[in-house]
Parts: sequence; structure tokens; C-alpha cells
Amino acid sequence: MKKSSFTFCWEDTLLEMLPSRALFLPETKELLICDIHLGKAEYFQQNGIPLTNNSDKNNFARIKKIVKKYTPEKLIILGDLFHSKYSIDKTLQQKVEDLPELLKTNVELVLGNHDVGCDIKNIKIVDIRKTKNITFSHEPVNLENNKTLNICGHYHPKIYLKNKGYKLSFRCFAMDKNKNTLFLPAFGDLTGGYPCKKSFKKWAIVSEEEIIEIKS
Amino acid sequence: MKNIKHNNLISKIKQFFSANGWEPLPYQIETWEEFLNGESGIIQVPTGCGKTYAALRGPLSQIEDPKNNKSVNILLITPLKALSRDLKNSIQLAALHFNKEITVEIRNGDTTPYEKKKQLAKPPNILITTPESLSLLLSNKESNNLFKELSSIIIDEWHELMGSKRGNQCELSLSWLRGNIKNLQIWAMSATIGNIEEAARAIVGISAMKPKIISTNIQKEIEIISVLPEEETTFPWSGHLGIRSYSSLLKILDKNKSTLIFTNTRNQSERWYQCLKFFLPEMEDKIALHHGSLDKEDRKRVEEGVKDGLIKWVVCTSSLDLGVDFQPVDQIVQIGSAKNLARLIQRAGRSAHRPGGKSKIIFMPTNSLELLEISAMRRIIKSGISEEIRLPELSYDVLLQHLISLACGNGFDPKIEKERIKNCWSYRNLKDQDWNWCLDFLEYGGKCLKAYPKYKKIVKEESQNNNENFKYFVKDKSLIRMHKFNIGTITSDKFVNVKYMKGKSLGNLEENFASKLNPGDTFYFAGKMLQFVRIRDMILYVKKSTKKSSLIPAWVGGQMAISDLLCESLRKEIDICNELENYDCLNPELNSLRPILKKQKVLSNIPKKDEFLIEIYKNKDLSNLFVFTLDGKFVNEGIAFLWALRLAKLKQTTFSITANDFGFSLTTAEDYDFSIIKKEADYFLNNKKLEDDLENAINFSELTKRRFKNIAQISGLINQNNPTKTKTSSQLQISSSLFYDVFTKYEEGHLLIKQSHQEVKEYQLENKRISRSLERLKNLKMLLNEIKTPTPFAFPLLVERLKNTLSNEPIEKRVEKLIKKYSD
Repeated sequence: MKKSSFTFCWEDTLLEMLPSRALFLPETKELLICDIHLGKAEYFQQNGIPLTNNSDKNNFARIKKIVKKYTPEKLIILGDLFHSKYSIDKTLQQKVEDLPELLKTNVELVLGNHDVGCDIKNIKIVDIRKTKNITFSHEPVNLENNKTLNICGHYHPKIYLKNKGYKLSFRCFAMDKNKNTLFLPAFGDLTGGYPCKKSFKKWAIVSEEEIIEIKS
Repeated sequence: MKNIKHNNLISKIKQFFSANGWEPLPYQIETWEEFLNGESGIIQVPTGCGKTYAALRGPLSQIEDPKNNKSVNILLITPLKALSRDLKNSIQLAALHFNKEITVEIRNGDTTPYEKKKQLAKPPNILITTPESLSLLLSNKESNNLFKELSSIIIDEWHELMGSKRGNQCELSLSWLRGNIKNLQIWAMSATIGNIEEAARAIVGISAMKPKIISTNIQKEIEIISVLPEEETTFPWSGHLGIRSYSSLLKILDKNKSTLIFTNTRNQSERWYQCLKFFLPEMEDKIALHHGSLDKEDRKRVEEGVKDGLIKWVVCTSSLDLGVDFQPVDQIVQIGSAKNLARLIQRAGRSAHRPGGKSKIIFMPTNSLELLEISAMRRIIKSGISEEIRLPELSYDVLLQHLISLACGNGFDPKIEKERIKNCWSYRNLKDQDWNWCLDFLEYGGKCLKAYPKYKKIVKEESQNNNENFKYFVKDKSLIRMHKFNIGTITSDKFVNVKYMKGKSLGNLEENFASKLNPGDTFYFAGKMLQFVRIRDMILYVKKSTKKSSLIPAWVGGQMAISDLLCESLRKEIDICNELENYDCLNPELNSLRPILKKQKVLSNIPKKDEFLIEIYKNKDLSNLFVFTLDGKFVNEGIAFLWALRLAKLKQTTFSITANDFGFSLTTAEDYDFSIIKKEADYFLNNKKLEDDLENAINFSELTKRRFKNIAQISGLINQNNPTKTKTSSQLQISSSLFYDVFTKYEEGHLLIKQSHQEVKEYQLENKRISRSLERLKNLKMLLNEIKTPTPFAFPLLVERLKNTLSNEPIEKRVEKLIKKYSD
């Protein structure tokens, strides 16, 4: 079935998977995104590879758009906000520090492997974030009990869909039921992805407005 | 005075020949004389006629004081690493006669860093290298010194390099050497090709004196023996492996004779190896496998095994096409169409590697229509015509790579370098505006990045005595390292190394194949059944397995279309087939095809030379159109897409498309009236708006994206994974398709994108050939037959359809179908 969002229920918490590559928690009004990799183009440029840097503009615009639509109380970034500490120049730093003001919401960053060494004001930085039944992290973590769900980024999950003679790939949400882990799709435009295990349950983002549930 | 000296040298050379019991051929003497007169040029003679001796004697005789050289005297460029060793041996043998002190060394990917360093400190008289290693040398600051006294360059098997971008790479390196060294003499050796003037021009540059072309009328006799189907059949069997008729082949082959069995793809060679070992268990240790993806050591062992006589049969691919002077092999087998004459002749040449020897090749068809090809080849050989091999033109990726190389080494002055590059044959049409774009791309990263201060690949450095002049350099050490690592990626796709868990290396597999494996899967590689254990840091770990599996890796580049010349002859051959009854002396191939051809004639027609055959076949739920364009697989495929689009414009439907070297088929699930093709023939054969129509006809962006991957790699946008340090470079990983999207979206007129479009049009769709083909078809009489049963000509297309089809459906529609399939 094709929809503009899919709702998933963990214990008593509602999770809404959006085709805009974000997860929304309506009860606490928290919006989650991950793996934006800001400054990726610049990092390539510094290393002598001429990648044009227009994608960050688009990333910021898309963040603005979903925040406007869902008016969350908190925007949580599940790691890899930046691509590398070496590619953060003053303009980019300023832009990120202005985000809470611009979006009129709190912004929190769960530190990812690419964010190591970044120093940013106005944004609360945590290693890991826990609520009574959900653990938010960048890389998947081992859970203490089976009542907790781990929501994380890092993997950039993708799915390949095949039909007679051709194959296309889409970003997706992926759920590892054995480990109670939900992987979010990478938010950044300039990010690739990796196919994930067959056993995972998947929801593929087929356009900016549509998401489909993959029957396994 | 000069002539006396020449005569002395020439008689000295003759002495060497007679000491070995040989008589110099007239063309060899001619080459020596031209060389001693200071000329450059090309030597065009069949394989195994002593080209190497012809080219080398002259330059060798000029090394007067080999011990006190300050630089390399003779540079020898060869397309294959495997050739270097044999070349070295034969040169050393020859050098002994002139001067025992002449030193010969090899520099290629297999040379150790220690040896490389030694070569720079004390250059050998003769250096044997590959185009990639030469390019790498130019990125070294020592290159000026290493070549300052270079007097001549010899290029081996130039026709082999010419067909690909490696030819461009070689041309560019030559342009730099010609520019820096005065009075350089350059000679190339080539097999017989149709456009030899162009080949010679590419060596010396367009502004040089007319290069000498030395050819002989040595006609190498070739005997072709076809393995014919045992029973007479009216049913054309089809396929591309040919394994089912192995027994007919085994009947003719002698187990005790040294034999090369050539296949067209690595996949096919693995299968045949497996098959032969199975049916001839007693030959187990005497059969070996040889292809380009196997480990270097294994290949070497096979090469030596053949020389020592321990290995009798080798199943191989084009990896053994060239050189490797295995003492002449006794038997040569070609499995499946060789697709072009040059390759067939070259392979046959391996059986008698000596001037005047007669070469013999056993041809094993994989489908019956290939017999027509062989029959056509016989006729071409008889007529003495040869094929043309074209250099790719204006490859910006190779140009960018070359400029970075120079900037890594001694730097380049754009004004000087531009002239040198425009002097290269394949860059003669380089526009100033495009040249400036290339410089901009390297200095600023393209138009969009001009304002970005951190980007730097090449930087200007003013010359000390004149600040008007400046040179470009690469300053950053890590950029230099990365660039050097990337040279040599011109042909290769991304590969993973295959290793046993204990560490022994088996060879390379394409990443694409590797990524589809799951732990526990078994597959057949390097002649062994292997089980996939895990993949880490671009190494695929395996262990031996006893499980059976039919999974065999496929490598890109397996597909080839038959050459232009062969297409033309094939059409003539089919014309001849019309008159079969009237011919008394048929060749064995046509004779065995007689029943098939008769059936074709009864059911439909055999097109005469002024006719063009189309067949329509309807069964209960499908409408099929078969069109016999006889123009090679890729052109046929292009016309198929074009017609699918043009048909769909008249009446909307989706076609599945299949093509082979003979023609193509369009199939649709509807009851479709294909007879409009005859009524609207002008519309279908129209050449106007061909490019636009083609771009719309196929999923053009998908094809260009695929091309762009290779371009991005050569021009240094994406880095070949460095096997020793994958971890640290992970922050620089990005796929070429992301690059493609970003460039298309944000930078109009990006030359590398433009190049990928051009390459698709020229090499994949072969625009020009399509247009020529349509032009030709216009003048033919169209025969449109409705057939009740598939004809022998249509049958292979019908079979092919089940394995391999393309579609003219737009991408949006496919996404929609996918979504429907997966979400309902």
C-alpha cells in the first residue's frame, strides 16, 4: 500500500515514518532525522575532488519544511550532522548554530562517528538518549531488555526492488525485529546507502510524498 | 659517408641473423634503413613475422657507449605486462650481439619499489613499460632526467592500444616526450589494419613529417577448420557457450599436442575448463585455465607449464591473445565467433610463430548462424581487406588525468602544453574553450566552485626569471599520492581480491558479483569450487567447497558485437546463400547449413543483397516482429529502440527488445499491427532527428550513468579503493552516480557529463553506424512476411528473448509498476 506516512506502535509509543526521511513521535512532539553529512562537498573539495556544494542548501531547506509542517518541540538529530570536523567553516557553523532560533524549536544532537571533534553552540549534544522504552543512538546499541526499542541511524539503509529485468534502489526505514532496532534512512542529499538484511522489515521511500510498506 | 656507416651497421645486423640461422626479410632491412635515415613510422606485418627484430635493431645499433648513459636510451611501450618478460629476453639476446653491456629493465605494476628507485638513480639503456606506468613516470619529478637522452621509442602491438582510452593515454605521454626531447624517433608495430595512416599519425603527431609506413606482402596462410554439427539438422541450435557439442570437439583434438582454447569471456572459459576436466579426468593435471582475473603467480605458472610441456591444454581468453611467445602451440581452438577478423588472425597466429609458417585454427561454433560468419571470414581473408581500428576522440577524462600527472611531476605551462596536446591525433579538434574548461576544472573545480577557496588541485607558480610565465603544480603530498594510486584505472572496474582464509590469493572478481554473494554461497572461480566466507576491506575470503554450484562470476566487457567489415561480408554471404543449389564448390560451413537455409527459404525468404527482411509472427498472446538488419548487435539494438519509440508514437504500447548480431525483435503482449512499417517505411528509416529520438528512445540517463562511472574514475573524481588503507579513506567515499546527479543538477555544460553522453552515443549506440545503417536500408527492397512458425533466422532471437530483454518503458512507469508489485 502507498501512503503519505506509516504509523508503527512500540509498546504505547506511536512512531510515524515520513517520506521526508524523518520519524515523528506525536505524543512527545519530537522529530527525528539522521545522517545529514553537512559539509561533505567541502570535505571532498579540500581533498582535491571538485564536488559542487549546493546540496547543503537543499538539506537546510528540507529541514525547515518538515519542522514547519510538524511543529515539533524538539528536533533530534541521530548523529552525523556533519561529515567531518575539518570541513566546518564559519558560515556552516553559524548556520547550524542559528537553527534553533530559525526553527523556533530545540535541537539536540546524538553524537555520531562523523561528528567527533565538532564544537557547536546552541545545540545540546549527548552520546545517547534514553526514555522509558526507547534508546536513541547513532550506531545500534545492545539493549538491556526486550521492552526497549533502539532507534538509530548510521547505516543509511537502502532497498533494491526488482522487477523483470531492472532494479531500482530507494532509501528506507528498516526494522530488525530480532534486535528491536529501527534504522532511519539517511537525511542528507549527498549520501549513498547500503542494502540491508533480508530479514529486516522495510518501508521504502519512493518519492518525497510517498512511502510504501514492503511485504516480506 | 653516412651511407657507409649505415651499410656497416646493416651488415652487422645481418651477421646476427645468419649467426642464428635466419635470413632477414626485405621489410626488416627496409625498416633498418629508414630508421638510420632518421625517420619515424609504423611497421605493419602479420603476427609472427619478426616485427620486434625489425623495430629494435636500428635503435640498438645506436647505443655506442652503453655503460656511460645518463638516461634511458630506448623506451619500449607494450600493452600487456605479460609481454614484458618475453620482450626482455629476446632483446637481451639481440643486445648481446651488439654490445654485452647494454642493460634492459622492466618497469610496470609488478616492479618492486626498490627496483624502481634504482632505475631512477641508474637508468638502464632500454626500459620496457606499459602506458599506465609511463603515465606514472611523468608524475615523477625525475622524469626529466630519466629521459633526457632518450633517442627512440618503440610501441609494441599499437593496434591493441588504439581501440581504447589507453591509446589516448599513450598519445598524451608521447606528446610530452616529443615536446621535451629533440630528434626523437618513434616507431610502432601493428597488426594489419585498414587505417594504418591514422595509426601512424597518432604516433608522431599531426604536425610532424609524414611517417613511414612499412608493410609487407607476406601473406600468412590461415587454415580454418570448423567443428560441424554431427547430424544434419534443420533446427538452428543456439546459445553462446557451445558446451553441448563438446564431444565433436574432443574427437578432433590431440591430447598430446600443446593447445590453446580461446573463449570470448572469462565466464565462458571457467565453464569450458570445468567441462573438459570433467570429461577427461585423465587430463586433469594437463589442462589449465588462464584469464586476466586470475592471480599473477597462477598465470605465470601456467605460462611456464606450457613452455616446459607439463601443461598441454590451456583454456584462455584474450589474456593470451598477444605475445607471450609460448613456443608455437600445436593446436588453436576458437570457441564462438571471434567477432572480428583481426582477433581470429591473431589467435590463429599463435600456432606458427615464425615468418612463412602456416597457421591453423579450429573453430567451434556456439550457434549455427556463426557458421555463416566463419564462411564470411574465409572470404575476407581471401580478398585481403583489413579492418579499421579507431582511437577514441577527445577523451577529457584521460586529458585531465594526464594534466594532473604533469602537475605532480615537473609542472606544466598551459601555453606550451596546449600546443602539444592539440598536436595529438585524437585531440586535434580540441577547442580553446574546452581546454580552458579543463584548466578551470583542475584549478577551481569547475564554474560553481570558483568562489570556493579551499578547493585546490593544481596551483599556479610563477617562473623565477619571468613572472609572465607560470606553471601549474600539484602541491599537496596526499593529492599526489592519491593520483598516483589512481593511474592505471583506465580499464578496470572495481575489483575485490579473492583469497583463501589462509591467505593465498586466487585473483580478482568484480565488486558487483561479490556484493550479491551471501555467506555460505558457493561459486566456481579459478577452476575451483569455492565457498564464500566473508568480505572485508575489498578482500573476499573463501574456502574450498565440495558443494555443487552453477554460479560463475560474469565480468563486464563480456559482450562484443561483430565488426563493420564482418557485417558487410555477412550480408554478402547471405546473398550467396540464395543460390546454394547453383554452387558446386561450397565451403564446409555453408554446406552444413544447407538444410537450415532451405527451411528458411520455404518459410520466408533469404534476403538478397538488394533486399531487407522483416518477419511478423503472432502466437496466441504475443505479437513478434523480427527485423534482420545484419549490422552487429549494438547497432541492431539501437535501431530496435528507435523503432520501438517510433512505433509507440503511432500506437502506444510497451515492447520488450532483444538483439543479436543478425537483427532484433520487438515483442508486445497486444495484438499489434506491425504492417504499418511497410506503409510508413520512410518514417521508420528516417535519419532526421535521429539523435533526439535515440535519447528519448532508451533510458539514456541510465546508460550515461554507467559510462560516467569509468570517466569519474579516470579523471580522479572517485578513488579506486586503496587496499592497504580502506579505513582511513572512508570519509572520501562517494558513488559516481551521486556525482552524476550533482553535476547534472548544478553545473550545466560539465564536460565530463558531456563526454559520457558522447561515449554512449558513439560506442554503445554507435550513432554513426545506426545512421549509416538506416541510409543503407532505405535503398533496399523491404520484404515483409507474416510467418506461421518461427524461421531459422528468427529462432535465435526467440531463444535469446527468454534470457535477456530490454524494455522501452520510461523510468517513472517502472517505478510505478515496482510499487504496485511490492505494495499490493
